[in-house]
Amino acid sequence: MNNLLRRICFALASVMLVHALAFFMLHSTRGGPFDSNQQFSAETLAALEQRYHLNESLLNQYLNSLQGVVTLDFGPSLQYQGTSVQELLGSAIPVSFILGGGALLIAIIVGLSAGMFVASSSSRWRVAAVRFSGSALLATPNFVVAGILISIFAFGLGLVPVAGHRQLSSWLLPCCALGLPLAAQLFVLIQQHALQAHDSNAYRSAVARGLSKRSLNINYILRPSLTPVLAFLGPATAGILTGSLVIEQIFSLPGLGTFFVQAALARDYTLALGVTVVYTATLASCTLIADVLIMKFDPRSEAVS
Amino acid sequence: MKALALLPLLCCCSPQPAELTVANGAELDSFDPQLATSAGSTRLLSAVYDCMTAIDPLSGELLTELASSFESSDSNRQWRFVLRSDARWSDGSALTLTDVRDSWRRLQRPSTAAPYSDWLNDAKIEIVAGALQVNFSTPQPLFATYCTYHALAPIPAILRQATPGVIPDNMIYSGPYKIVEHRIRDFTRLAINTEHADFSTESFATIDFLSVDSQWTSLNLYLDSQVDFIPEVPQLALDKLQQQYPDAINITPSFASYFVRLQQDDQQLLHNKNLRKALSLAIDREQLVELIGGSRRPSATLVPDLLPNYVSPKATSTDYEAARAALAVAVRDLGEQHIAIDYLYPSSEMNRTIAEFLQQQWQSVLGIKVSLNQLEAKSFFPLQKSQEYQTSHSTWIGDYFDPFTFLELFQSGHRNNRSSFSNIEYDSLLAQAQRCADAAQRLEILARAEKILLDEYAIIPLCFDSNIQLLRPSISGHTANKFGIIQWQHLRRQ
Repeated sequence: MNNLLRRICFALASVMLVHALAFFMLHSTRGGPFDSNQQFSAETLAALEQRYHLNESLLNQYLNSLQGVVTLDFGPSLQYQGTSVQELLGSAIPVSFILGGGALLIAIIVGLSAGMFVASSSSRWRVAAVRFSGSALLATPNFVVAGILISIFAFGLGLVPVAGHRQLSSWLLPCCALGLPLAAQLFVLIQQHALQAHDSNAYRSAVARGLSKRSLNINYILRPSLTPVLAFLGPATAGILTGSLVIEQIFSLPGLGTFFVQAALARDYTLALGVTVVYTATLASCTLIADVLIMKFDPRSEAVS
Repeated sequence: MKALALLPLLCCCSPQPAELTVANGAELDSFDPQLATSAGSTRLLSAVYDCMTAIDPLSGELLTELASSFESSDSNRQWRFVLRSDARWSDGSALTLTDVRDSWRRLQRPSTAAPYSDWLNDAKIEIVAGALQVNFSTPQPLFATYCTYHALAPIPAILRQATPGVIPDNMIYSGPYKIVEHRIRDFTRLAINTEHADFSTESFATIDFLSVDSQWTSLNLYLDSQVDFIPEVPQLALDKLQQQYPDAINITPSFASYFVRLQQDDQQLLHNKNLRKALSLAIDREQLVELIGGSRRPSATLVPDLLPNYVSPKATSTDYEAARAALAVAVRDLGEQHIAIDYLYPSSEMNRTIAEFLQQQWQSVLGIKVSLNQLEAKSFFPLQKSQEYQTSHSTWIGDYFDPFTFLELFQSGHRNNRSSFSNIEYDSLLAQAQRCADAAQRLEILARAEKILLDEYAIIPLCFDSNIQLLRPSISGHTANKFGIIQWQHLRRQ
């Protein structure tokens, strides 16, 4: 319990530290939110700076921003006038979580099944085919996967919409495009550990004891492979749940991913800090959950930590 | 996996598609007409706000809209507007002169932080004898033209009283449509305004403006029949679209110009006019527009050639021999054999193509070494503003349909000058044009000013921009026009 509490405190401290770093890095970058081709007049600029408290000292601005993190009120967006960062995050988080959740589900199902198949199959050709597909997917960026999926399933076969999210089927392609490259990573990881488990003395003695194939697969191949998979999935889940700029743009999904780049480029300080905090908190939570699960599956890790 | 449980909810909450769907580009910067500046905002706001005046999309003539008449006096220092008696808000209440006066006063207030507050500057706005009277301290020949832009559209009291930028609930509108639903970065639904003077049951009852960041995704949505109208199609898709969808595609020149700014204060190499001339004449603009694709047109002048009564002065576009001769003189004057310059540009695929083309042309024709300095937009503009460059990429989209919107950029001390160009004769011609009450004579004066700008090689014009629209052929009522005006209430499905 003490261990868990310590980790939670560490996660909170990480969020604060990342927020502080992001704040000072953003404010030290050249250019401000109101620099554009159409230069505002000095009066307009002064009024805007006053409205968004940008005329206050950097320390004051940081303390205000820190208060925002604690109260979860990040203030108004500088880029989308009249809209608060909470509203923007509130509209984007469900979209990204659905996209990320779907992609993760696809990645786990496809990656785990392929990994287990390779570890337990006796057909060399099939194993080679699965390995080749995995390597090909691993080497293919997700926007290429998206393009191929759109060409085949939306324009070619007309089975699903090309973009948008008004129909349930609209989510299939973006989830696959985001999930399949992750599935390939998972597959490589799991097959490596599954093959090690397959060659282990424990597995051989279990076979000698005459255990069923199902029991062998679950207890002697899948279970030992789960620890590295969970350690990988923790941060990967945070990454995938907080959206993907490319996939969201291709499929016109109003998720979080776009904000990461746009907010920084637009010097939308409040929004950029909002998404940074959300990302860091998600990363810290996912890593924490993964650690807890690892402790459950592999008690040795608790002793080590 | 909890998020997946939200999936059916999110889809079920999505309304049925509207009668017309438009891919309107990225999310609007603001729904407040006094604060919005993006092209997407202008398109949407033109559907929900009427202005005092309007531009005829075909002839470019200035017409009345909410005003029944307008006139200027005292050498354009005083403007008077009479309001139409049937002007109504979308809730049926009367749109009054008080609404117009208070809207313009809000635009003036520094606390509104409106980008176009300059247009009213120190104006005194009052209601006199049933008309709105605006008194300026200096002549404002273009004020009625400014009034065609949404920044000067009357806004209702409920919006005037709200925090600038925040759109209150129960908002009312003056245009042919009203906003009935908005989902951030998703869509904005408009419904027909039955109180509008142009109301017709044949117009589309609902229109969805989708927020779509990527122009290529907009194109995919059109090809998938989810979208009927794309007001801005990627230029690189032009050739293919012209072959496959000749009935749907509309190409129109737009009131926007690409040019190079030259830092020419007396400490700089480019203070030398012959060097500026050499750089300008060494560019093959025909080849440039071919390279960047689309339907842009090469230009040797600053003001796009779209205005009915304005003729830009003639200027030489490309002349390699003259360029080399000018360089020889410049080298002699400067006493430098090997001239090297830098070119600053904001990062984008197209800007990089332009930069590399200029680098190659200046290197191969003149032997000038050019170092390219690419920065993302927010870092680029402060550097350009502080004039920490020698040559720099520039674009300008006219705010209103008059040469002044381009020519004022190079007035001495103008905040958008950014190139140290300062010419007493140029400044005095612009001031003279502002004082001139005769419209034709005024344009002649402006053409003379543009001639100075070009003769001095103060800038290097490159090309005029264009706009490509994709509209489903089954929709009628829209004529593509160089002013980019879309009269939403006139669109019909055949």
